[in-house]
Amino acid sequence: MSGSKSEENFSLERDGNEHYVVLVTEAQLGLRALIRSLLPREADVNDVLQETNMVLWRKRGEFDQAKRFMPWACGIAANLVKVHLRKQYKQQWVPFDEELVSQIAAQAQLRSENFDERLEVLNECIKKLPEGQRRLVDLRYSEGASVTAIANLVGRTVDAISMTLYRARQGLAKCVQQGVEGNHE
Amino acid sequence: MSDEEFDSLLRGVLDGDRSEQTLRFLGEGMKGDADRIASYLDMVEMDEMLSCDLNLPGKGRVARDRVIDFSRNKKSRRSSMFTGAGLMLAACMILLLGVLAVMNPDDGKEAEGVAKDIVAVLIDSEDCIWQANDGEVYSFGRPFERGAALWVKSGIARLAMNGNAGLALEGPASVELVSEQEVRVLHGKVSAYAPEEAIGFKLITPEIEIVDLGTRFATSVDGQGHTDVHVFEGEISVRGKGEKGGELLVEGQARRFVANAVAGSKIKNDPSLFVEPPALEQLLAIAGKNDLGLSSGNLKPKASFDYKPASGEEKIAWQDFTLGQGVLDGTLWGIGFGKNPWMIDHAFTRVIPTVTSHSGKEKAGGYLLVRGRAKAEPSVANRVRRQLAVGLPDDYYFAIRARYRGLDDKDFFALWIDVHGREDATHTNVPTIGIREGRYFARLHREHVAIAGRPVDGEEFVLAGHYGWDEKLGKARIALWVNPVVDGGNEPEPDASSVGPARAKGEVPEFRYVGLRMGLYTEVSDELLVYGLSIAKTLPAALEAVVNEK
Repeated sequence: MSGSKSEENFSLERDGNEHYVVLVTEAQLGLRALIRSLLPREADVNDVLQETNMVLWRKRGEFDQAKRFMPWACGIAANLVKVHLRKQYKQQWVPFDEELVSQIAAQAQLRSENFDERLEVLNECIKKLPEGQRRLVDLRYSEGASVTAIANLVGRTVDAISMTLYRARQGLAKCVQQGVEGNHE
Repeated sequence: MSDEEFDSLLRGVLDGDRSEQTLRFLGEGMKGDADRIASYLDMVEMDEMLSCDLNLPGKGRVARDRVIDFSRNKKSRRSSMFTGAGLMLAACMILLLGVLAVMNPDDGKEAEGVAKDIVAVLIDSEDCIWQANDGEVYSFGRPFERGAALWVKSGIARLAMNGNAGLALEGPASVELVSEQEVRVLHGKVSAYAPEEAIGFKLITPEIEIVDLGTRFATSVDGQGHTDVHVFEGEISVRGKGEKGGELLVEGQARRFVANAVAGSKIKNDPSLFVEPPALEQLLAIAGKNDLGLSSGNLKPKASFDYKPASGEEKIAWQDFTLGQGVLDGTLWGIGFGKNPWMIDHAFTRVIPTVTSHSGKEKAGGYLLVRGRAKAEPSVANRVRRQLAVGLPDDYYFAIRARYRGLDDKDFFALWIDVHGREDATHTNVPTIGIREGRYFARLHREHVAIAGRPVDGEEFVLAGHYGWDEKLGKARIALWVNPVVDGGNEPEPDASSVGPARAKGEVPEFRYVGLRMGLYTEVSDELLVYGLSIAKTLPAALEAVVNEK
C-alpha cells in the first residue's frame, strides 16, 4: 500500500487488505476450477492454488481496484500453471501443451466470477433434477462413490451411469446459467 | 473428432479417466475450438462445485459465528443431500476467516441475532456504580455485546476486550463498545493497555481517533470539547478530526485537542491522572478462559494437499507469518506441511497483522507472536508445532527469522525438528536451534550443545541450522549460523557445530515435525516474534525462504 493512500485514511491499508482477502476468498472456487482444468492429470492442483494465493497476496499492492479481480487472479494462476508445466515438460508427458493451456485460460478469464451466486442457484437446480439423476449425483458427490461402484449398487452398466451423470451435469450447468441470468434481469 | 466423441472423452475424464490417451485426444479435440473449451470449462466447474467439501474444523468465535450466520442465510439453498456439505465458498471463507477475524473488527455484525456477539468482559471494578438502563448491577465476568453503551457514574471498571486490549473506565465516564477492537469514548477518562495481540486497537472520541501501535495510553474527554491523550509506553497514532496525516505519539508525550481544531497542542504527560488499565496477565487469563476455540485440542484435520517438493525444488517447507491470522489456521499459506494446521494455544500464540499509522509511515505487527510460559498454568507449556508433508532427507537445513523481547539469561526457545509432535514431548535430543542461557545454540542431544553469539533483546536475528551425517565419525552433525550472509551461493563457515551420539546411519529416524517451544523459565511477558521459518536442501534456499518471503 502506498503511503499517500494511508495518509488519506489510516485504515485504508487494513480496509484494503480486508477487501482483498474477501476477493481472494471468493475467487477460490473459480481459481481451483481453472487450475484443475489446466492440470487435469495433476495431483498437485492444491499446491498450485496455494502458490497462486501466495502470489496474489504478495501482489496485492499491484491490483487495480477499479478492475475486475477474477481475470487478474486467473492470469496469475495460469502463469503459475505454465511455470509448473514447463518443469513437468522436461520430466514427463503432460496432457495439455502450452498453447492449449493459454486458450483455456483465456476463456476462463472471461467467465462468470460470481461462484457464490452460482452455488446458491446450483442448490436450487439440484432440487429440480429428476429423482434418478439426483440420486446418482448424490452417490457420486456426497458419498464419493466411483461410477463403477454406483453401477454395481444400482444394477446398471457403467456406461449408463456415466451418461446419466453427464446429462445431470449438463442440465445443472444450464440451469445455473439460466438462474444467474435471471437474477440479473 | 465428432462432438459425440468429444463428449465421450469429457465424460470419461469427469468419471475419473486420466489416461494419457484420453487426455491427449481430449486436448486435441479442444485446441482452437472455443465451444469445446467452453463445454470443458462448464463441466470442470460443475464437477468442482458439486465436489465442494466443508470438512473443515470450527474456527474461532468469530469464525464460528460466521459459520452459523452463513448456515442461517443459506438455509434455503441447501438441498437435503447436500446438507452440511456444499459450498466451497464457505470452506474458503473459513480458511481465510482468520485473517478477517483479526483484520476486520466489524466481522461479527452478520452474526447478530444468531449467536451473542461478545466483545468485552468485566474483569474488575472498584466502588463502581453503573448507570444501567435496566438497573442491573454488573459483576465480575459480565459479558458485553457489540454496541453496548456503558456508563460508569463513579468508581473504576476494568474491561478485557475480546481483541485482548484492556480498558479502565474511571467514572463519570461513558463509552460505546463498537467492536472488540474499537471503543468510542463519549466522555470521561479511559486508560488502555494494548499488548501485542491487540495492536491496531482503536479509541475514538468526538475529536480524535487513536490507533494503538503496541502500547499503554489514556484519553480523557471533558464537557468543554477538550480531548487529552497521553502515551505511557510504546507509541500510538493519533489524528484530529479533519486532520489528514495524523501524528505519531511516543512514550512520555501528550496532546490536547480542542473542538474543531485540526491538530493537537502539547501538554504535560501525567500518568497520575489516570487509573491503571488491566495487566497483561489478567488479559491473557481471560483470553484463556474465553478460549476462542482455536487451541490445539479443538483442531481437526483440514483439507489435505499432500505437497511433495519437485525433484529440483530446494525448499522443502516454509511459512511466512507476516500475512495475518489465516496463515496459522489453515493450510492455505504454509508450503510443504501436512494436512493439519499449526497446533497452538491461541491464548499465548497469535499472528499479529500489520497495522499502519495514520501517516502511513509507521507500521506495527506482521509476525507470529509466541509468548513465554504462563506461570499460572504450569501445564501450559507454550508450544507450536506442525507436521510436514514429507519425511525429511538425511541432510537438510532449517532457518528462522525472529526477534525476542524481554530476553534474559534464563530464557529459552527452540526451533526443533522431530519424528513426532506429541504435546508432552521435550524435543531435547533432536535437531534444534534457538536461544539458551543468553546464547544462540544448536544441538542434537542435550549433552552435545554448540554455542555461538549472544542475542540482543528485541533485535531481529536469523538462525540457520544444518543437519547432516558425518561419515568419518559415524555420527549425525549439526551446524549453526547466526545471521549468515551467503556470498555468491557459497556456504559460509558455520559459527558453531556439534555432533550427536554415535549411531549407525540406518538408525537415523525420519523427521516429520517442526515446532517451537518456549522455555520453563520464560515470562508470559516474553515475546518471540517469528517472521518466518523454513526447511530446505541448501542453506541459501532456507535463508531465502525466511528473509525474502516477506
